[in-house]
Amino acid sequence: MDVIAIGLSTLADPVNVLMLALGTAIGIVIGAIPGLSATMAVALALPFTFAMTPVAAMLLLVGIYKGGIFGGSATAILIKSPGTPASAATVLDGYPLARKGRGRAALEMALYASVIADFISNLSLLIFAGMLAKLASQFGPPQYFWLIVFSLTVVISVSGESLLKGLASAAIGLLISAVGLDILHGTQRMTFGYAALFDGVALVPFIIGLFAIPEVMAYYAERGGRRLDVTPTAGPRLMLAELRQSLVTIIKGSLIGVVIGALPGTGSTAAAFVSYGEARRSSPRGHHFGTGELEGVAASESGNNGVAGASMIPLLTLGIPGDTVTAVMLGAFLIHGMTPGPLLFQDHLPFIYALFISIMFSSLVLLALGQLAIRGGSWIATVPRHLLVPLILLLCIVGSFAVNNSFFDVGVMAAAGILGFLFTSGGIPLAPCVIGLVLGNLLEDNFRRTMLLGRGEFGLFFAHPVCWVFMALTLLSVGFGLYQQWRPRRPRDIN
Amino acid sequence: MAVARPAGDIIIGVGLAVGAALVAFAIIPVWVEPVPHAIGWYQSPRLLPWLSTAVTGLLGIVIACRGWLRDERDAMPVASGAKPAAALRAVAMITLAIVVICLLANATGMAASGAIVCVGLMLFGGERRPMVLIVAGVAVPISLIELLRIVGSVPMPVGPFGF
Repeated sequence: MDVIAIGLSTLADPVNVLMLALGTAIGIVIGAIPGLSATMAVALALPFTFAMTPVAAMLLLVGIYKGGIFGGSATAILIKSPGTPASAATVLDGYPLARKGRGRAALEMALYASVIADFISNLSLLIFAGMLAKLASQFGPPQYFWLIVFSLTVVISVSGESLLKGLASAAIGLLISAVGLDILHGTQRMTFGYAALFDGVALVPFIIGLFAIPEVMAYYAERGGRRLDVTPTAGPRLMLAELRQSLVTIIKGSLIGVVIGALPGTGSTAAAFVSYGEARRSSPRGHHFGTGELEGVAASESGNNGVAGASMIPLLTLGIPGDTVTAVMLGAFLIHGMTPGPLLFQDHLPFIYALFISIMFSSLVLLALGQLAIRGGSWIATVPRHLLVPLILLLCIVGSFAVNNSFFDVGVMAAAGILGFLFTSGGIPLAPCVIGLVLGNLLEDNFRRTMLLGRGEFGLFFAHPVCWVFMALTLLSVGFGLYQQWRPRRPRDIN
Repeated sequence: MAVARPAGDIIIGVGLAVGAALVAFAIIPVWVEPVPHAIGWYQSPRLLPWLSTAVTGLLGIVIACRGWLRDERDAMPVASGAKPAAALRAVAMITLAIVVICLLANATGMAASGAIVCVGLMLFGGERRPMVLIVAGVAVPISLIELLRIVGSVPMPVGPFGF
């Protein structure tokens, strides 16, 4: 009860509420600007959390994450351009609704579905995180090794269209993770004599460079890109009967999002499409999906927002990021001297409860700010890019510098930016590289420790039932991922 | 973003394979110190670099072969539709902007150097209205950096003007 009281008192702190609101507002604005993703926004905000308390810092980032996913739906509905990949399924019904003059109703449905799904997802975090952390506290190096192998299967889902390129990106991430002093022997690995690289490549500047700089470079390479055809948000509001009609779909979509979010290796984009597909299959109005159906927007938005809270479960309990955004958030924990995993629940229990209770409150903040954003939705999407992009570049530089007060980190950011630009130009996905970078050291460390414990034999890797479970999950995840990648495409999918 | 034909898979695959070969034969032998007293192969500091490099190289070869066998028109679209010359110019320009800020920051302060670069980029982006340049290119960057420095306690180089 004491920790819950501490959690509630944390929520009463106006700074924490302010950070949550500020984060949500920033997330909505950035998510609503096509080309700027929630991941990029979280990465950019990371260095500015130094002076904050850990709770305030995490609330700012969680707010940006959640606001970003909702903001992405605004552009999906109004300009047929999902602000984030997670909102891609929202385009299918959202944009036709906007063209019919029901843009406002579509945005409101997206907001209410997002808020309900977000609340259910947060509730799942509150219920399951503690249980999983207790189980994970009994893991040894072999169990962790298989858990990380299982987590690496996330690469398949974040590889997009080309699995081979995704795997290459992950392998490059693993190679970059090897930079620094060797964990066992303390010898130098690819540091090129720079003391700044002894602790490895700085994660935050690398992530900022990889995600944000290619967008800046792409803008100047294309000089402005295409013009945006923005549909106004006018039109009749969403009626209560329409919301009630979609409630079952929203709850179903939320649960799909929770299950998918809790598993490393899937993510919000997959959840949105699975939820949309399920709603189309089971709804009596399923045959109207794709022509401007409010239930379609509800299905997609509840699916992708159901992931947000649940994706924190593997991060907080196992120290394993389930997707790209939580990989970036891992950096925030490290900045504040906390290592996510089962020990976090032992050493920082008041922090955990404060975080959970505040995250529950974030659904209300999203509801309030989302209402405001719906009124300004059209305006956000038309912010002049030629004024915005230089400021983003400046934020990247300042943010990278602020991590260690070092211009060397700005150089790391620039190098990662060039790498990211080369990747995007060649169709190589960025997210697997970050996953490889984040998990590389953990993978190597647990592999070597298991081998040492087993005196050079592989037997320990297969000695425990938990290892078998993770091996089976890995095989299932790889099998499902490969099926998704290589299944014969139906004409409807291609369209 | 515009959808356009990708840089050929053959070029990407060959690039990955050549890069991996460079790392394997020029970087790892020189820049990853061996440990003579390591008992097993699994203790070698070169294990992860070797494995990841080998996988990158192999995938590069497979991507190149696939590109060779497949009609380039079947290849998937990618995000950036820029021409190579424009892409190179953008990379050079942004790198230059970063270098300028880093070089000027200690002399003029982070806020002033940031404002200089922002105004330059906005002019390059086609903005000519003086008021917009003053507000968006000077006032916003300086306010932003000062806000982070003073309120956010983010340490930043300060110039002769006190910001």
